[in-house]
Amino acid sequence: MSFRMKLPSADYFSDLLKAINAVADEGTFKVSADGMRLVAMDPAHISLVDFELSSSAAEEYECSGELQITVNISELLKLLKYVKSGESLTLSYSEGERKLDLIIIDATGSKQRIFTFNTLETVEARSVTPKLTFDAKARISSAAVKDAIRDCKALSDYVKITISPDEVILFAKGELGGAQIKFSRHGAAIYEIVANKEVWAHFSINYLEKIVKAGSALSDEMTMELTTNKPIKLGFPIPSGRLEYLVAPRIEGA
Amino acid sequence: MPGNLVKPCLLCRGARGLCGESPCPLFSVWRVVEEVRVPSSSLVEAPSPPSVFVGWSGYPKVRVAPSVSVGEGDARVYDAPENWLDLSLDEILRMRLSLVRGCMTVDVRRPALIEELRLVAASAKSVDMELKFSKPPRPGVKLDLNAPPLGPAGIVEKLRIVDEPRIEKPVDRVLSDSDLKASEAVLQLYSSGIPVSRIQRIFSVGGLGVEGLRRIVPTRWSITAVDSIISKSLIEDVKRLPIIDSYLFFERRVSRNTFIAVIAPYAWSYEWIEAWFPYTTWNPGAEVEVEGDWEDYRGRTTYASLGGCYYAARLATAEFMLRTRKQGMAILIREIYEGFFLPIGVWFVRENLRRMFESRPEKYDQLEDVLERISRSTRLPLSTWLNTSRLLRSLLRQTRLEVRSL
Repeated sequence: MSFRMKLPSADYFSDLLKAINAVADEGTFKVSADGMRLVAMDPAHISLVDFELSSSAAEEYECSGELQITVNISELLKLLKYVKSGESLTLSYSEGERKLDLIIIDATGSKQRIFTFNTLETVEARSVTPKLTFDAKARISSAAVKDAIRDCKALSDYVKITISPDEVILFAKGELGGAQIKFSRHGAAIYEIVANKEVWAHFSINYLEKIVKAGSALSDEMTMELTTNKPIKLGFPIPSGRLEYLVAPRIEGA
Repeated sequence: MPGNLVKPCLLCRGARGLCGESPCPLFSVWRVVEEVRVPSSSLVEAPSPPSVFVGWSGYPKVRVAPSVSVGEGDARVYDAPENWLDLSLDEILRMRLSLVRGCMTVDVRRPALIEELRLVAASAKSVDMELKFSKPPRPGVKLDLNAPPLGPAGIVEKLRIVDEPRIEKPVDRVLSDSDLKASEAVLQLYSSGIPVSRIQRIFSVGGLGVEGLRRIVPTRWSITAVDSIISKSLIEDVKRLPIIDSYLFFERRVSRNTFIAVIAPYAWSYEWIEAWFPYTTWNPGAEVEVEGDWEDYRGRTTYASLGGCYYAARLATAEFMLRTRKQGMAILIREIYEGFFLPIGVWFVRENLRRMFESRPEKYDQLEDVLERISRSTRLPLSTWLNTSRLLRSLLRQTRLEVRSL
């Protein structure tokens, strides 16, 4: 069985990998005729990434059967570190060789870079994402959230996120003081709030920061879905695909 | 901090035994210092353990000081901290202060100038050396942040190596490999079983690295560089191991120090916390000072604020996990009590933790039980550790995603 996909932008694929890498160093792409999907957790089981890219995102796409391709994402990203805008990327993989080929072609078609990348053994411990329901949802500017997290990080290692019918609040408290960043539902940073009561939970900034930084490079808008003291779901809409995260809360008391 | 701590040294002044130690640790150190025999001649022939100290002041023009032992017993032990654990601090100090240093000033970029010393530093046995001083060495004690104490010193005019150093095969291989990066060379030496103290000495005299890039490295930096390089590599292997299934608790009390380790059943991460009681080496004040630093699964990119001990302890921890083939979250605590005022060197942490991790741990299933166990071992209350420790706090408060396996 084999797989081949040509993407118009190598740069974009590198950003997608960085978004996965915000949670996991290693992951298994499940590839079928419809597209590719990867679900992975960090080793401490605090965050999860659910990534999907449909075959329609590709210029050319061929896949016979279903394949699992396990790679070290951090190492793969090193190969894509120096891609320039306008360069295309073709990924191909055949099951026998267990090697992923990457062909990067520049905008004029005059230069090809061909990498061969060893894949890893797939460990057959398949897991399913937790079934969660959420009491509130907000659509918000990802850059605004990124900046708010940066402000909170100066004071604490965790942040309290509150979604109320009228606003979204990020709040941090540390030894030296506190920070509170409020986004009103009427303001430019909020696109929508769906909530009939106030919900909140605390999260480690370490995890949120990496996720929002990588996600905001891919999408100007993000969704937050939350229930009090339950995991938060962060979504970054991407064309022909899905990029969602779950982060488990810290129980800090109100 | 509670205000009920007495100022034992001030009240006691060596006469009343308030710290519970006899004889008074302060007095006994001075007695050792008084006993130091300083050679009266400007020509000294004696065995070097081997030992070569490289200072850091004046960098990049630094003092390189090979030393010879004018004390008794097997000279090799004098610069091999791996063998010091069963000696008292006084004995170690006595030994160290009978090392006479011959100092010369060398530019770190010109390690070729100390070519001969490179072989002495790398030797597996002591090497007889003749030091001709410009005038007889001055008595004195040299203390360093990371390195063990040192004794009298003088400017050396001429140095003659009297007998052949013994260079083991793996050492010879890296010394003569001019294409091997210093970090790779360190790892090769470690996996060939060369003691960390010797790797550090070879690193320091500019014996490792790609030709042209070799540098002389001040002893205090080289100690931490070697601990850091080795532990970083071991951690990559640790992260592939299965996760331990219960909490482990270790404890070691030695020379006015208490060491504690908790290994928790989660993926690799590491934290090192030091509590310096008043009137100790790095805390001249009257309040307990508590400092910690940590890293998560992905490691750290900045230098740990606590420096040398952080990396030495990380090495001992990673070695333990590799030996037992299980990974975990490691929280290490050290309390340093009144009367421990001599900077003894980072080896003290590395070797004591190695010994501690050889002991049989207590096992606990519940976090609450292991926290209670910590509070029974430390003088500071549990609340201090919960306030300082990022990892203990995360154990208490951070929930995990519940994912069903198919």
